[in-house]
Amino acid sequence: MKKFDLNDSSVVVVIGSGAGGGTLSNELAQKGVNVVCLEAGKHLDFKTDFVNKEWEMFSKEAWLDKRTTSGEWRVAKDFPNLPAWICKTVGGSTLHWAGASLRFQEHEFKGLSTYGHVEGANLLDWPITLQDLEPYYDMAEDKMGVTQTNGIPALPGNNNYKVMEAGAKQLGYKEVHTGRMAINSQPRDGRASCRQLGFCFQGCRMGAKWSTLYTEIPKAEATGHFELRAEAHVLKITHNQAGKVDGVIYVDADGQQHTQKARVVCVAGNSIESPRLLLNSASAQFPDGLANSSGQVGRNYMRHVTGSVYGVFEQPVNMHRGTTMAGIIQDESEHNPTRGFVAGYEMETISLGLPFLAAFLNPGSWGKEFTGELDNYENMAGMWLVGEDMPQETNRITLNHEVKDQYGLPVANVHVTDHPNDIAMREQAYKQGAAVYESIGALNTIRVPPYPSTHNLGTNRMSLNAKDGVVNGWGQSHDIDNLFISDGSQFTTGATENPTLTIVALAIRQSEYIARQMAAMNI
Amino acid sequence: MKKQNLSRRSFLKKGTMTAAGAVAIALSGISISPSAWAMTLTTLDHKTGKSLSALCRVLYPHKQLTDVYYDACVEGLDANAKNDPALLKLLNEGVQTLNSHSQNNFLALSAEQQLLVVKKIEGSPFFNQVRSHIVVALYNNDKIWSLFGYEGPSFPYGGYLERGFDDIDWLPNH
Repeated sequence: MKKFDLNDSSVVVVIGSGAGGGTLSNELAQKGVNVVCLEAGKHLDFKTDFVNKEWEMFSKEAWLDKRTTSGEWRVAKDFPNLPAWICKTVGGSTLHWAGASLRFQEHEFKGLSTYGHVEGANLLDWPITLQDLEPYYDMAEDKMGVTQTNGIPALPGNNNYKVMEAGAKQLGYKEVHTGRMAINSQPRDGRASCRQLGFCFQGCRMGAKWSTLYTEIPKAEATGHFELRAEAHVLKITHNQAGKVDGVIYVDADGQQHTQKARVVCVAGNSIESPRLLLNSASAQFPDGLANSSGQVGRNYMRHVTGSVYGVFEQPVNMHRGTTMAGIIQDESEHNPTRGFVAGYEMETISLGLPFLAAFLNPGSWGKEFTGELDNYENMAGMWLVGEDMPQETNRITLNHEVKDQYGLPVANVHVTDHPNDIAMREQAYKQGAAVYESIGALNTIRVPPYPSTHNLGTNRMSLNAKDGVVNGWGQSHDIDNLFISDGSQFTTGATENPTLTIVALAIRQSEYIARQMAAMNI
Repeated sequence: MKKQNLSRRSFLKKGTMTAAGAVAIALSGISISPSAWAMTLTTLDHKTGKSLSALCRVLYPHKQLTDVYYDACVEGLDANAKNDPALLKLLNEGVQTLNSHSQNNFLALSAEQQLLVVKKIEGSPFFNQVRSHIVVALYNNDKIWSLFGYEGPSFPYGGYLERGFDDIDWLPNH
């Protein structure tokens, strides 16, 4: 395996190995660019380390380093130190994701123009359009093996999907299908096809679901232009007197500190750690943190408007059998302000095993009424509601100087209060979700509050003008041209769709730009 | 799997089987008498343990679960308290508080009366600590899953592709 010297200042350092960092690393390495990828988490093997147990895998893969919360969101009360449900492993949150791979809609790149001024929201148009991204969506879908693209058959619907589909059709919804999923419906790219295990959130034991862990990472390693360092937790990005970044300081598994020199640094630590790292990298020259002349680093944190509805029926559903996100209703995903809010939402099946359902059905709840709901486990169907939330400057990641992590650095505080548009959308989505199940005879429906955030977005956003955001349309810092953001934190707005496909498409596009700029000696 | 042939007497002779051990054996198809196992505590005293077990049932009551499953949760709390004096103090004082609302004997109350007492301490640090432990420990016990219709790990059985992932047959036709 290729090894690079700590003093090799010709390498691109990529921080994080998930959908953004893993993809970018491989794409650069394929072009002959030398990459050192630093991943804070451990390197698990899906064949030996993945098990079909919810809490056991949670303890293996989740990012459990301390974080704090504030604001009016319920997560701050129920899970004060777990604002987000994301991963600290090689492969990042591509272990935990469900596989839903939807393109953004054209208008979603033009949030401000389409929705207009929304009081209290910090909306902005993306500096890029759907047309800019389309060729990269094509490449991402091919790379990930997305069903219903590239001639790849759809996955079959499981029981949970069939219940949702029957209800949707009863209600008159038209766009109902088993999704565009980065889960092999037939063997592809050296990976097996789905055997309907369930446990998509625990890491796919079949390797049928796309994860950078066993696709991008080994492919990058095979080029000879890539070195992965797992359990390498980056503390700080350093810069030279000219204001260019020139390396990173990290701690290895033995607690030893190292400095890796770099020509370019790409940050892909997800939308909580990425801004935290920029803020923790403050210096005399950049007292407010790196890339932060706009003051927007950490702001506009988005997590999608989410919630779940479970329907309880007279007869068994067995929702746990088969893929977690087994299908989708897309009729509500358009922007239709007559519903009383801007932007749209999707309805996607979800299922939890008994251990997670007990913890997340109604956090903090107890007593006979609650356990009576769990007694109906077998007869439950479930759906997740996911819609576009409004970026707000005050929903943000800040450094909590009162609380330090294992390395003595301030932890991230995540502050969220829902925008009135978010609340109106969630309310309507809850009603429609319940109506889907009631239309085919649900005895009862249960509204479940948002889980700790799985979609974390927007905290280093793209903008045309440097004063409005952190990076340009290539994810390149407005302030420091050899510093890039390569994860979902560069999203200007959140859109309705699950974000991973867009993160991957942006990473492919960014890799071309970086390689071009390096070849032209611009960076 | 090798069929075990253990007599009830061999259980009784050992006399130290933990509730967690009894749970495992009960699910393996061997029937054992309720007197053959005992909640095994290393730190808490027995009556405190039984009181906590009763509290667990008040929090998460399920008719289909015998006391052994709640006792197993308390064994976990007991183990955690062994090296955590603050937790031990919280548990002991919490049970004392339950008793102080129960004419000094929470265990002697009916389920309805116990519920009224627990409502008085809802939200206290003791209540929160026990509840957050139990909601994970009880439902993460794979021995109870089949009683709820949850089938647990599927990879060892080849997933659900040929085991009913789409076998629902009661939906309205279109």
